[in-house]
Parts: sequence; structure tokens; C-alpha cells
Amino acid sequence: MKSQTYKLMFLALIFLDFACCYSQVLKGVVLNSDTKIGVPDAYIYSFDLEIGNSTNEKGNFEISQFPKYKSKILISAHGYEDQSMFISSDSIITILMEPKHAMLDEFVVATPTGKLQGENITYVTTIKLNESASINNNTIGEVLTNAPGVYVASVGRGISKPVIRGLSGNRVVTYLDGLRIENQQWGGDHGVGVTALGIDRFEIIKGPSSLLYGSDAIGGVLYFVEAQYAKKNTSKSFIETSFESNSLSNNTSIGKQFTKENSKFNFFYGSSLNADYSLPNGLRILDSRFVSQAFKTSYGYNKNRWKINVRYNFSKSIIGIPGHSHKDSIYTELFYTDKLDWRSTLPYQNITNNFINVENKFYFDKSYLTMQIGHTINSSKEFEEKVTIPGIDMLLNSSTLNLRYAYKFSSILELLSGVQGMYQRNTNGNNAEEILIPNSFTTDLGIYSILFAGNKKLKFQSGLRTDYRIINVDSRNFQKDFTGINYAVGGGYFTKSSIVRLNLSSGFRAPHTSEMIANGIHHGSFQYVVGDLDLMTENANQIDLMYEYSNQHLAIVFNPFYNQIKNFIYLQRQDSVIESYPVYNYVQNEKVNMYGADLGVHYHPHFFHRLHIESSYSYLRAINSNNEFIDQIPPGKWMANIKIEFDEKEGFYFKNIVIRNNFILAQNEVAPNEIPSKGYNLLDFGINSVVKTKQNEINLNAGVKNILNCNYVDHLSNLKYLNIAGPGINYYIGIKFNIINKQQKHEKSNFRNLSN
Amino acid sequence: MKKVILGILAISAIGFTSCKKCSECHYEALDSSGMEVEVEFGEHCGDDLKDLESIGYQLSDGTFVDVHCHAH
Repeated sequence: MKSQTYKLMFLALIFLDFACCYSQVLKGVVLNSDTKIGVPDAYIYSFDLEIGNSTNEKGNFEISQFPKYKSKILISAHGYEDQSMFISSDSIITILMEPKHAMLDEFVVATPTGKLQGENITYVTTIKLNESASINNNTIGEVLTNAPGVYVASVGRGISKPVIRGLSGNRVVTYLDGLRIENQQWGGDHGVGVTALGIDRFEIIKGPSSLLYGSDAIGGVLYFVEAQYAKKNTSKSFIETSFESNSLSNNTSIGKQFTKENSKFNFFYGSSLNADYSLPNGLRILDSRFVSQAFKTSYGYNKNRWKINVRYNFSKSIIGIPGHSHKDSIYTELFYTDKLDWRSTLPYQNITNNFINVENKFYFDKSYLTMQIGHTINSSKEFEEKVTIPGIDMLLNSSTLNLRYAYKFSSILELLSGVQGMYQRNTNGNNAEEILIPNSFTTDLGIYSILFAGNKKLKFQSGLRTDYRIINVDSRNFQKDFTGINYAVGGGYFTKSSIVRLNLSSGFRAPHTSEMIANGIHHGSFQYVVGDLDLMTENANQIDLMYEYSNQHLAIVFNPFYNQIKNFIYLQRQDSVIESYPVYNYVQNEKVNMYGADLGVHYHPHFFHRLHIESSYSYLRAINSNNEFIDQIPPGKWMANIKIEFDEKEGFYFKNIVIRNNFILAQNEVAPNEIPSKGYNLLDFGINSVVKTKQNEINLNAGVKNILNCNYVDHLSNLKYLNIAGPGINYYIGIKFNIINKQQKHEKSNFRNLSN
Repeated sequence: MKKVILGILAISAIGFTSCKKCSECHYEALDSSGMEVEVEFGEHCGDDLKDLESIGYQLSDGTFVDVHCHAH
């Protein structure tokens, strides 16, 4: 046995040695395509390898530790169109940059396939947080609300759950840099679990996506991507603070990012303090206050063919649960207050998250291997009547494993295969008054393979996946297993101005432990929840068509879809009441048909390139086999955004001015016991300016949200049954100090002048 | 650079350190006219608060009554 272990260790050492052997340097020059003069300060970056460097004053650059593996690099420079190309380190390259005609959107790479947005067969919506912050977003929920086709189910301002194509909770899987986030997302009052601190962007994949992201992802995937590391041998720091008038909120964060040769570090800390929010009539909603803090750090290292990233996140939130009363007679005014208070009061949630993620990636000549292990610890406590004894106290430990191997047979054929596993344990604190879900554990295993084929114009992908899940409940000696087989087939036709994508995909979701064995009071959602041990797996099949047209001044996207979910699990309100809480049972419907479309337009007039006019419309309809509408289906949403950008310069300048209008239509297509909602209109305005010096930059922003002081009750708000409205007019102001230290003089002096 | 990182770590450590939990507590009783009233009996902290919530408040006649405390 011992000798076998030694043999395995020896083989692993040889493998790692091979992986780390060859030191390579990528060299090249970036030139203006018209003048053939070198472009200074262009940035050449590989998203895949997470390494990059800037050009010197003559346009030359050099990136060390660049493996021979053909990696996609992106080249960006101020005033030029972004470029992308596949490159390996065995050649000296010349990159020609075309001067920018209009302010078009920059290239975005979709993870985890590493393909460019414009080349991906599956359409991925990408939202960069710094762009969405043209109008200040205080919470991750506000960021999500302003993404096309995405909605948020909320409980006040502190709790937000993403809703993608009408599905949320367990049906939407959240990833943070490849780590699957598990935070009791089944609960209507359990938020997204990720804070905006240190996040660069997030990607939304709409519809069943089980193939790459595992079981449960039948509604879609929310994939958060952390901020890039600083450029090689540089460091940057920031301190940021903002204030909002409506709930007298303050958000403050600080960060430090630096790289030293092959090592890269990120550190972030942030805190948020929010009092009860105020309504258009000036009164406040009692216990809608929340506070949160987060700390985040990452370490990355590149050595030739090997890359490692170690990431750790800690967050703690105390979130008031508004709309909560034990009084016999409940009316909206009961939840109003004219007092201003930040201090936590009963009932509230105390949520703590610890996430750790270790990713190793090895590059070979034609392939790469990713090995990722992670662990998430989510502690969810709800204090209802006592401040030292929680009503609910659950600790969720989830260990995940993700192995992925991609092999490029040729430039037109690539195979991606992988194994995903998860072991999850839920334990209840001894002190808790209620046990909603007994102590239990869940084991997941999935194996998949996807084949990508095609040239620049025509692309295809097809894949298969099989999943196995076992659920064990300690106290009841209960065990049940589920299997699922899923597929995805898609094709795309890509021309310079048009893209057509057609995708067929399936998804599988085994019933969650809570849906099978819950039997108790859930204070946060004010329900007595009863599970069903006989629930079957949900199966989804979706057809998704996407047409995209773009030229220098206009981009149009049309994306209709149809999704059928068999054995749809949902909570059905019963006539009975237990301990003054209405009883809800988990039940299944034979099938639910969901269909709708997203339409988007982005226009830059030729006579005024600095003007951006963006508009999108999303519509969804969901009907079950009894010909009834489904509960909590978002109404139509029309979003319009007008932005004017200004030239960068030294000293003070205005960066942009934004007017945003979100028109939410009325929702009258409601489930039998659900109430309809009125339409409403939210108009926001923001102005962003910069004070720029040679090394530092100060960003100043100010604006108003809900300028018209509109009184509205959102259809997806858990407080709609109490007729509790959303926040009224809200003024904000923010400031961010950015300090950039360049320390790469030595690096640049070593460049040879390749442009001559 | 070290100072900035140490600063972030120090602020994080201070930020995540919980202060001792204290609450104003009361119990419900009937007044001389038979009306239900809240009887405040001051602020309690830490283990004292925990014991009060789990065991109850002992009245002069030796009986225990349920208490309600408000989070701060």
C-alpha cells in the first residue's frame, strides 16, 4: 500500500515538473494600423492565464511566463478598437490597432469556456460592475435589477434573490470564480450570498445550463468574476465611500492590489450601513435596516505552464426582516415608523459566509487541465423573539471538486470533459427553537463532455452529462437517490454584422432536502413549510434562438425562447394554520410551459459618437398543465438608458451623464391565490466626474434615484401582500480615490525596439 | 505597501469583532385593573441576558415569567 502511495506521489511530481518546465516569453509590438507608429500604454492581457503587460513608449511589450499553449489574448488601448487573437509564446507578434471610430463596447470574455462573447454559441449576458455603476448601486440586488431580462425577488432592500426567466432559488445556480455558492438558497428570504466587493463583472446564462454548471441550473446561472489582478510589477489601491439619502446608507470599501514578478495579490474590505428605508410619503418601513461587512483576498501565481489561484471570502450581514407581526389584525400602517434607526431589532437574520477556493491550471501544447477544490460555510440564523436564542440556526458546509480537461484536436475541433462533485452537510444548532430541515447530507457527482467544432463563420457544440445525487437524513434514517441525463446541442452562424444562434438544452434538478423533509416555521417568509418525500426530479428542455445585428452605430439583439419544465415543484398555500403561521406544502405540477423574449437595441448616432442610447424589453409567460399561471412570474420590463460620455483629460473633467428609465408593466397573469400588481416607472439620473493626475485618479459621482418619487409595490416583493411599497426618492453622492503605483521601469528598459 | 495591507487587515479585524450584546428587557403582567402591562426591568448583557431568555425572570414570589428583550 505504502509503495503504491510513493509511486503515485512520484508520478505526480513528474507531472508537475513537466508542467512547470518550460519558461517562455511572449514578445511583440503594437502599431497604429494607419500610421504604423507604435501605440504606447496598450494593454495585452490573457484572461485565461490572468497575466498581461503594457507596451512601452514605442509600442513594444514582453510577457514572461507565457506557456506554449495557444491562449487568447486581448489588446486594448485608449482610442483604438479592442483586438483579440490566439497566440503562443514561440513567435514575435505584430498587432495592428485600428483607431476607434465610435465608442463601441469593449470585448468581453465569457467564463468558464474562455471564449469571446461574439464567438460563444451560448449567449452570455455580461454586466461590468463599474459600468452599471454609472448610476450608483448600493446593493448587489440593485445591480441585478438593472440587468436586461433579470429580476430580483426581494424582502425589503437587504434581501435580494436573482430571478432569471421567471425562476429563482434552487433553480438558479450562483458561481464565484468557479466556486459554486451554497447558502440555503431555497429560502424565499435568503439572498444571493455574494457581495459586490472586489467583483469586476457578472455573467448571466439564461435557461437550463446543467451541462457545465451541474444539476439545479434549470433557470440559469449567475457567474461572478473577481477583479483582475494589478498589471505586472505594479500596485494600485483605492478607498471609496458613498452616501444615500433614502435609508441614510453608507458604503465604504478599501482595496489593495499588487503583483510582484509571478505573484499577484488582491485585498478588499467593505462595510455597509443602512437604516430603515423611506417611502414616497416620508415614513419608513420598520426593520428594513441592514448592516454588512466583507473581507476578500486572492493570491495568484504563474510559472510557465502552471497557474494557481487561492481565493478567500468572508462576509457577515445582519438583516432586518420587515413585514413581520404576530398581531391578530395586520394592516400596512402597522409596519410604518417615523423614527430613524440603524440598530438591529427583532426579527433579523444573522448570516455569515466563508468561501475558500483553490484553482490549479496546467497548460500543455494542445490542452489544459483545471483542478479546482472549494469549501463554503454558510451560517444562517434567524432571531425572531429572543436576542440570544435563534429561531433557526443552520450551518451548511459544502465541499466541491471540479476537474476539467480541454483538448484542441485542431483549430476547428475541441473537446471539453469534466467531473464535478459536491458533499454538503446541513446541521442545526442545539440552541435553535425550530428545526426546519433536520441534520442531513447530500452527495452530488456529475460527469460531462462537450465537443466544439467549427470555423470563424459556422460553429457547433454538443454535449452530454450524467448526474447522481444522494440525500441522507440522519434522524429519520432516510436515504433517496436521483439520476439525471442532460444534453446541449447548439449552432451559430457568425458574420461581421450578424450572429444567429440556436440552442437546445436540458436541465435536471433533484428535489432539495428542504422540499422533501421541511416541517416547521420559516420566520423569514412567514410560512409553516411542509415537505414531501415522494417528490420527483424536475426536468427542463429549452429551445433558445438569438439574432444579433451590429454595425458601427447600431446593435440589435432578439432572443425568443421556450422552456418546458416537467414535475415542477412549488409551494402551495393550504387552508390550515399552525401556530398562527399559514401552512404551505411543496407540491408538483405535471409540466409548466414558459416562453418569452428579450429584445435589445444599442444606438450611437454618427453625428454624436459620445451618445449611447440603449433600450431593452423582456417578456415572459408561464402556464402549468392545469392551464393556470405560475406564482411570482415577473411582469414585462422595458429599460431605457441614455448616456453621454466626455473626453478624458488631465485635471477635472466630466466622465458621463446618465438618464435611466425602468418601466415595469402591470402583472395580471397571476396564480390562483396570487394578487396582481400595477405597473410603475422608475426614473434615475447620474453624473460622474474625474479628477486625474499623473498617478492618481479621484472619481466623484452624484445622482438621484426614483426622481418622480413613484409609489410602487413590486410584483416579486415578498411584502406585496402587505402592500408595502418600495423606496421613494433617493439622492446619492460618492467619492473614490484611486492610487496607481507603477514600478515597471526595469521591465520596460529590457524591451528591444521591435518596431524598428 | 505593507502598511496598506496591514491597515486593511486591522480594519477588517476591528470591523468583524462583535461587541458584547446588551438588551432592554421586560415581562408582561396584569396591573391592579386587570390590564396587561409591560414591566421593564433594565438592560441586561452577555450570559445574564442569555439566562433570562432561556430560563425566564424570577419574581419575588419565586415564579418565573417569560421575558422579551429588544436587540440593539
